[in-house]
Amino acid sequence: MATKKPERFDQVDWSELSESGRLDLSINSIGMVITSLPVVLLGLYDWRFIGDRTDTFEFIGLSRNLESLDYFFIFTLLLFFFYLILPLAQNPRMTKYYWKEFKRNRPAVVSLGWLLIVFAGGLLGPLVISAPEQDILIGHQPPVFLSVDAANVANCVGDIVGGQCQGTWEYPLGTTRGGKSVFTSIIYGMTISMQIAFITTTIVAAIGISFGTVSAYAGGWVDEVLMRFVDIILSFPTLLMFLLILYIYGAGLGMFILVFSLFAWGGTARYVRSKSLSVSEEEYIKASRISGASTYRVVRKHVVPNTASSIITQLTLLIPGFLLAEAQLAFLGLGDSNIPSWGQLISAGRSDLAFAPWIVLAPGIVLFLTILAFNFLGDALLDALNPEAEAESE
Amino acid sequence: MSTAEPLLEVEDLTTTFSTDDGELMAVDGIDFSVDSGETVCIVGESGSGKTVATESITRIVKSPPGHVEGSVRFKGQDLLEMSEPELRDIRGYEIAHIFQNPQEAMNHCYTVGWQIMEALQIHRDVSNEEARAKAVDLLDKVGIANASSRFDDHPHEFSGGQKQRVMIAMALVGDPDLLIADEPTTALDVTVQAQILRLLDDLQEEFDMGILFVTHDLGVVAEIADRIIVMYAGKVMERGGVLDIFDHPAHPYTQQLLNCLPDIGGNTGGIPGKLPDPHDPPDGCRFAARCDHTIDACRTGQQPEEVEVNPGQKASCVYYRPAHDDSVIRDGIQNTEPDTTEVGSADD
Amino acid sequence: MTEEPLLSVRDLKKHYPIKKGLFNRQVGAAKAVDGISFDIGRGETLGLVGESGCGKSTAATSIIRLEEPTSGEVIFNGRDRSKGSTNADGVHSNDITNFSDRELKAFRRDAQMIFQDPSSSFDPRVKVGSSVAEMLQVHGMSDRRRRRKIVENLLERVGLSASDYDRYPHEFSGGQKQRIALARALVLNPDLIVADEPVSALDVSIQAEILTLIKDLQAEFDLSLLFISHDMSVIKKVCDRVAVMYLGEIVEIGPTDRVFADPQHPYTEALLSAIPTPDPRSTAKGIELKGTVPSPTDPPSGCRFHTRCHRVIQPEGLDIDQSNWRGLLTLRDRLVAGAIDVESMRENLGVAEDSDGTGIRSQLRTEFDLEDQLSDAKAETALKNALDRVVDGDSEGAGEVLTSEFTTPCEETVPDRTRHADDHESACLLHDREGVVTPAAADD
Repeated sequence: MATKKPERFDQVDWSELSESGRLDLSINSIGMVITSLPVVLLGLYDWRFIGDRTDTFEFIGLSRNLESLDYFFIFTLLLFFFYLILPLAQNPRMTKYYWKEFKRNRPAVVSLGWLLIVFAGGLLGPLVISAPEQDILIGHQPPVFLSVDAANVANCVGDIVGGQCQGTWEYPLGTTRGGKSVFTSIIYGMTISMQIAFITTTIVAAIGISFGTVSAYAGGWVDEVLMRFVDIILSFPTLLMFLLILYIYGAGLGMFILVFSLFAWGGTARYVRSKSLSVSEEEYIKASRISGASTYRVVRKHVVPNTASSIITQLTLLIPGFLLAEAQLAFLGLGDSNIPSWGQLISAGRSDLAFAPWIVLAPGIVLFLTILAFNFLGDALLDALNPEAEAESE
Repeated sequence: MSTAEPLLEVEDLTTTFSTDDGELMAVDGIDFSVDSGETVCIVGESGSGKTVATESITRIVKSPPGHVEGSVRFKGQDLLEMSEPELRDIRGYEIAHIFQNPQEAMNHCYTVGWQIMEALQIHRDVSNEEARAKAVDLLDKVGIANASSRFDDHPHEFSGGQKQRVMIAMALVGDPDLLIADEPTTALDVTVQAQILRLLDDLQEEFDMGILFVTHDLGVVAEIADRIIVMYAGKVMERGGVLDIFDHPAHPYTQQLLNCLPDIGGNTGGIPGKLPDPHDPPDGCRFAARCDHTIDACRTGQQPEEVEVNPGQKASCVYYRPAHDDSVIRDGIQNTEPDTTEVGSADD
Repeated sequence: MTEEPLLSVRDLKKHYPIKKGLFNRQVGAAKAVDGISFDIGRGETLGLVGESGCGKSTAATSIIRLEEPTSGEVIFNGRDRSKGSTNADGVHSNDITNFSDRELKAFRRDAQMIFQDPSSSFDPRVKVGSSVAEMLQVHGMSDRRRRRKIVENLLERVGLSASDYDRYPHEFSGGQKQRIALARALVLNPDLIVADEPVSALDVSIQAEILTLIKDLQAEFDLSLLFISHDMSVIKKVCDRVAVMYLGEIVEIGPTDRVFADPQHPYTEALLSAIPTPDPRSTAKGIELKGTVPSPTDPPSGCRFHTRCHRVIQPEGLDIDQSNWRGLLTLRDRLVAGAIDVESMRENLGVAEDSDGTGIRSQLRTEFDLEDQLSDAKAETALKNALDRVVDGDSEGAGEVLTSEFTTPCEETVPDRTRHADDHESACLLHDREGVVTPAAADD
């Protein structure tokens, strides 16, 4: 018994402890480092050792290639998992409470379900369904259960009943003029949409939170300079900038994401700053400072998590803007025509609207629902993530 | 008790809130009355329902989720049966409220004078000049030095104590018959508290108001109260004149509360334990779980009936049982612990 | 004074600069703490008492260096720092204000703080156990399980249970949260705890509980406490000595029982009489402290309390009723400050009733507690003269008349500290003719 004395606060030998445990990483950070390491190595391998035309996974016999955007997407997914999903699992009671609050908002629950479908479709779809193939012969097939005048279809895959070409399960949402399956294209579009959502959010959050907290904590002229810079960012004509780049260098999806997210964090930074300022007035921040914790630790452990609810809400409401912008640019023919985004699909179907409306309508409805879902979700998160509301009710 | 009808008579007041976890009974069938010119104090810990009880009188409890039942007779009318517009004429006018936190009760966009004028003009058709004169007069009455020039200041230019004075001025616009003061001094310094208590005392004399004063501090109660109502977990534990309660508290809860006072109590450990869950109050006496004198009878049935232990003093405790001959039997309680028999004189 | 005190504060000042204009020019300073000195012995509790706005919280945060003090020394002799000395350049080796970041971090283990508002003193998203354990983590204890064991053990000691570790702040009552706050302050095993109004947000019944717990823990771990409160009755329960603060200065300091039994400074007297007496029979109204603490940007000259003091000294050769004298000075200060608006007074009275100004005169006399006829003829003449000028609309002139006629030594002389008995000192001119000591002389 004497060997195992009870641990008591007044029996800690601090001289033995000081300086030890400098690098005290949380499980989440360890997981993040361990999992992102192979991704980085693969990226290096892809970039340095194999030619542009060789697929990344050639060495294990897979014919899949990864673009730089894909690496970034994987990285943001890992971030999302280790710093959002895992903490929720680690604090089941807090999570349960949030879920209980969130559940009250029915439309938001449905929205979340829809977004999960889009997320899963975007993530897994391309792995199980092969990319839509061009086949001019089977253009303009109608969706299943619908029919279209056979005169408009070059070669009807289904039955022709009374001069009407019937849709088939082979192309559940019909095909485009070029004969690409609309359904498959939408699935592939989900990947694009999720990439846009995750990558822009990560960039906006990273820059916005850094700027906001540094500004709030440094104060004085640093604050002044950073906030004036934010003013410039906010008043910058992003679209014109993008068009300029587009005309001079040509622009793919990566450039779109980069340009739009680099000029979208101004509002977030301002928001984070004002939130941090009010949070830093709280006594628990003082208590944390008096513990001897570094400013970085105080900000990282207490200020940012307590501003998180508003940041998450704000970011969620930012995503629809990006999705819409991409679709609009694509519709105007200014997008990246190499990617199967929903906007590209809509754009491709606009000339056939008269007799093949599904080409526009199907991706249009999916886009609309997704944007609506993000908006509902943001609204519900604002209510659910606010612990003060509960404290008051008690 | 007087023969005339009291200014305010509350009977069987019950306030419930519907929450996710079911019905929450904040106030559970309490009775009390307030006469003109007297000060009645409702005493209890936070969570005892005392604030909700006073807010139920003019139905300013948030509703829904709140729901008020019972009868509240004010000058002969039942307030709970009135329509919202009728009630609005009484609220803030014949019955005025002041709150714990003057900061939150004021609109920071307008000058204090403007806010007082507005309060006045809501109820009375008076010209701006008259309203202004009256507002300055009221500010002066509540001891705001140099009232006419402070009239145009905004709330943030006043200190905490001054803000509470302004709130009192605002409460006085309608020459109220009843002033409900909900912990008006808790957020203030002790020195300012003394000022405010003195002010209320003076104003009561001048306006002949009844005051219903809510507090957790028996020290304050001793300074101002005529009568005391001790509340615990939505029920009245004991009531009586201030001298009766301080000299010979009957209910163990009151005794323990008094014991916490620095100059009286030998007990410095407070009252251990916490209030019962309002969603599911225990059987029997609500205080049983924290009481030093609990016997089996305390844990069954309803909260014991209030029994007159002295003229004008009633307690709700099983130790005081109404006997057949209408006299009161006091068994046990005084004998279980000798030093609680006469708490008031224990330390003198 | 053989034993070295744990903490010695010497002439500590904290001024907040007030900046104005385009180039942030400093135009003045709010002297929140303006030269305070005191000692706290090992295991001792010193109370710091005063109204809000007197600078007591700022004093606390400056002492513990949550804010950088403007000047002064705070010498901390805790843990293994007992043998401190003054270096060649005049800096004491144990002076907290000169600690490097490293020393400061080590000092955080020795001195902790409890805050006023239990509802905001815990991060709402962190389990309370983790909040306490974070202190250990910050100081390098990386063993998660050991942290948890220590904190669970400590939670039990402050009257909670080990299973409370995993609960969130909103699941506790105010009193329980204050217990956890106490655990958080204790977990690094400090020598000194600064408690900033730890019970003023609590119910009276719970206050008693927490105060008892603080005393028990203090005895068990030989803690020193700096206990800040505005409530003298709380101070009385826990403090060995008490320092009364007014407008950035300490006006009286001494053993608690002596200060309570025999307060030497009028401000202490006023604070004591503001405690509500839990005796419904006592009708004696104490000294009413009027108004609020003046602004620390421009504190009154001489004794800072003279603008509100009920015992403000009358000049040589004047002997009128004390409340009249107080009223005269207040009237004078108001007139000089231009804070009396005769026009609106007249408006309120109605011009018809007050054509010759008698109404204003009598109203001013009532407002400032002045009798209809002052007992001193010379003073009465001056007052009449001033009131006449007020009625004529010349408030400024009236102020000048009163200023030239009535002055009190209190506004001219800064009082020295007077020693009344061992350890009991106050700074009031009423005692100045008795044994004068200079504040620093006692220890240097």
